[in-house]
Amino acid sequence: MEEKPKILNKLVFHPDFRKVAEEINKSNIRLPPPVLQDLPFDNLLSNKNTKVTSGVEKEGKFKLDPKNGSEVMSSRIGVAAYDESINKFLTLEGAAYLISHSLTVVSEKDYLPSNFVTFNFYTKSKIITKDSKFIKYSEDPEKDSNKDYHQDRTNFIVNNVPENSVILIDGPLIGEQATAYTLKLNQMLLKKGVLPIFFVKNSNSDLVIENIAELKGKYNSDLHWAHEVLKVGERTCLFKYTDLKNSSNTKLFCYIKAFGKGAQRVEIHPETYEKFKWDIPSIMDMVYYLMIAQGDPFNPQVRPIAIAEKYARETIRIVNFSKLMNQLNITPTMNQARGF
Amino acid sequence: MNWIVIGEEKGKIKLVSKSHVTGLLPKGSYLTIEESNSKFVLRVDESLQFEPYGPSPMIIDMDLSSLKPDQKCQNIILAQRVKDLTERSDGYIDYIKPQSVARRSNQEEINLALGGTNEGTPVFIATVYSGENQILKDENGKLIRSNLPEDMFYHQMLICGKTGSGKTVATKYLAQYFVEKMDGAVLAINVKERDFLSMDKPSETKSKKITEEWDSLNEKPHGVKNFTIYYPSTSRINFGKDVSREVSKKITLDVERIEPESLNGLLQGISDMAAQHLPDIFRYWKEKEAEKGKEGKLKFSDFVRYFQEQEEVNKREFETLNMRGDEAVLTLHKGTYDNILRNLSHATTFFDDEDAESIDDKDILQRGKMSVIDVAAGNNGLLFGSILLRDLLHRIVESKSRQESDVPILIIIDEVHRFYDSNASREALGDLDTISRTGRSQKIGVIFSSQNPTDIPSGVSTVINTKIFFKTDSTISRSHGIIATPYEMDNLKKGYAFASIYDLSQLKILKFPMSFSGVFEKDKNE
Repeated sequence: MEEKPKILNKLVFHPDFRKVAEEINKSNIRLPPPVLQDLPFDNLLSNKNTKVTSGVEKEGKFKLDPKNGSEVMSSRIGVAAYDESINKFLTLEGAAYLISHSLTVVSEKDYLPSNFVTFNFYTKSKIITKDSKFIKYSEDPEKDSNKDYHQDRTNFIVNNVPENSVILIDGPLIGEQATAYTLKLNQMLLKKGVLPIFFVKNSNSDLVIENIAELKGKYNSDLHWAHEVLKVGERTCLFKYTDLKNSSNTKLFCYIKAFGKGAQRVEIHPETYEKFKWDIPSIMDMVYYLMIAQGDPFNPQVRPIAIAEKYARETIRIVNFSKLMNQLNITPTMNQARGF
Repeated sequence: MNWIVIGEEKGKIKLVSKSHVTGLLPKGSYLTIEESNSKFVLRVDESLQFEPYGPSPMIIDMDLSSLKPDQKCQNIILAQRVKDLTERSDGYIDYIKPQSVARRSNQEEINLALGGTNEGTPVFIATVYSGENQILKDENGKLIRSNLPEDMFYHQMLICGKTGSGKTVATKYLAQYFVEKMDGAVLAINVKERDFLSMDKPSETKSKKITEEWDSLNEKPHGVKNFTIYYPSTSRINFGKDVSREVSKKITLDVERIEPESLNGLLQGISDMAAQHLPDIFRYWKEKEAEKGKEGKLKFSDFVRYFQEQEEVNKREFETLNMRGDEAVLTLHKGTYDNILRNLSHATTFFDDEDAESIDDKDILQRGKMSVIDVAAGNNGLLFGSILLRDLLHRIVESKSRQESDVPILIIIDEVHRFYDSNASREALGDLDTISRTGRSQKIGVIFSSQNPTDIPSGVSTVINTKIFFKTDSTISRSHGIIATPYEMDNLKKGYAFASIYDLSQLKILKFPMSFSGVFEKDKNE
């Protein structure tokens, strides 16, 4: 990564950030201390409308070579990673979401972070939104915030990721409401020559064990199965997932076991695979190497995502939003005030 | 090169380096922060390495190369705010706000921060990190210096350091400055080897660093022009390439010129009370001999003979004349008498050598002259030198008191501990105590140089206002208010010192340039 994109090493606030805060204040809404919000849990379960098959590559498991991964890492043009941190504020009047989108590019000498911070308030009260341009009316704040989040995420990543790089993204490629947005993101990235890889840490999905006849009934979840069959430094072959109701909802995935405890799911889109087929084995080695580089067996993740996560959390902390909201006199709901 | 203020911690400003700063800024460096109309100068008191992304130990275990960004280091600094240059007049002190940008201070800013002047002995401001010492440089690589105030000389100095630490070289540098730039006179007592005997010769070095230091001061090695070595006629000096016969003078003590009180130094193994009688007996003898018209013809041996005769003639009963001119009679105890007589006989060789000169305050109090009394040679050199020194000190103080001379004088006592070897030298140190207390008004300065500050007479240590510690025991320096870790003190390189300087309290670590004269480094080609 010789040339440093202009946007890197920057913290950018959404243009409406301050205006939303001011309008909350004007409306006499008081925000409680925030709770850390996770994205919707990855609960892709096997059902009659899904199909999982092997055969994308040779069946079985593959030994990963971290040395090769290290060399790939040092020779590749660029590797970037994305993660986010979300603070949610539940109030009597509605819900506020403070989100830091974090993209970190691994350059030759440093991690180059860029962060984009958004703040939105959703309410069902038309009295509040009547006089406001920036507080959003919403019948379903959770759904609408999710939509805004994904739109912001797509724009942020696509606009800032270096061309022809590999991007490691925390979160599933296909998962309920996110699917359409993430598939669109994947497509836009491919157009930039970027190789997107998605990571799922915690999952109770049972796609493999329910769809492969000989595994049925033997394991509690795919992760349970992967943990049992894989040795440290191995990955499963790629499986193909297809949503039978919507054939465009498809992905390839495998499990990697980097440490003694648990495994992690890695997902790519079939189009990505087609485009970068010959690079995939090396990229998997690189992923394994980056997990070792992070070196946390209790929370296995690739190093660049861990760094992006750090920056996401740090930028939220820098914003010191709780203090700002307390100054703005916003009321918490009972549960949030009690810390539930 | 920038450092960013994070905030305040333990009363010090905490800063972190920006990514383009590729190394640690050592302790003793200075930083400047500019904000609108205000400017702040900070001194780096702590400097640490911080790894924001610390690599996983597993990488090492598996013999994999680390990610380059994981090797990133930052420099965390704790700095003392030493100078605010502000136009504020409302009684408040400016904040140094987080995110303020600091850069390395330049010479002008450091001068303002330290409060030094352009006049005074130039030294380099030094830094220390772990075992490394460096001279502070500005952004252009120029060596940063400060000037030790000239008034420092008259507020008495202590220079400490182990052998080879650079204390004698620094003392030579100060001496040369005093004679050349302050047009003063220096009187140094050479107690060890040939330390001070080559000051008329330019220093020699092959060290590029030292040459660079001299260049930055616009100086070249050169000897002290007006330089004289005085050595006892009872001793011999091995003249050679480094010590010139031409600048050396053999000296003797003149019984007619010597202060009676100085004779006390001759006495060994005798009580202080008993020793007090000798000057009064001597004064009486001298007075009576003068009345007899023998002035100008007296010899010390005459006095010894007179003293000897009193055993048989008056049964050790002596007439005395004190300083006020009161006459009296006293009888010396046999043991005391024998002891004094033995010491007098022993000292006869110090006096009245026709082949040697006697010197007094006028020989010393000459502008731009450096005089060295060499007491290192011969068995009784220190005894001789101590009696002479005491005599000279009396005369110098008297000459100054009577305003006969306004020549500033610097007296250098190197290796003070050696001055405890005899009564004479102890007496001389006692006199220096008095001079140290009164010297300021009369422009008399004293440098005490020693390996251990406990060698300094306890009375004197309370009037010393400048303390310079070269490599020495850190517990000792700490007891003198010098804050350096044992590791920093143990690893001080030659010429580098921690200091507490009179009227320049913010200067803590310094490097003395090598003296322009009298130092010969043969094999330093760095």
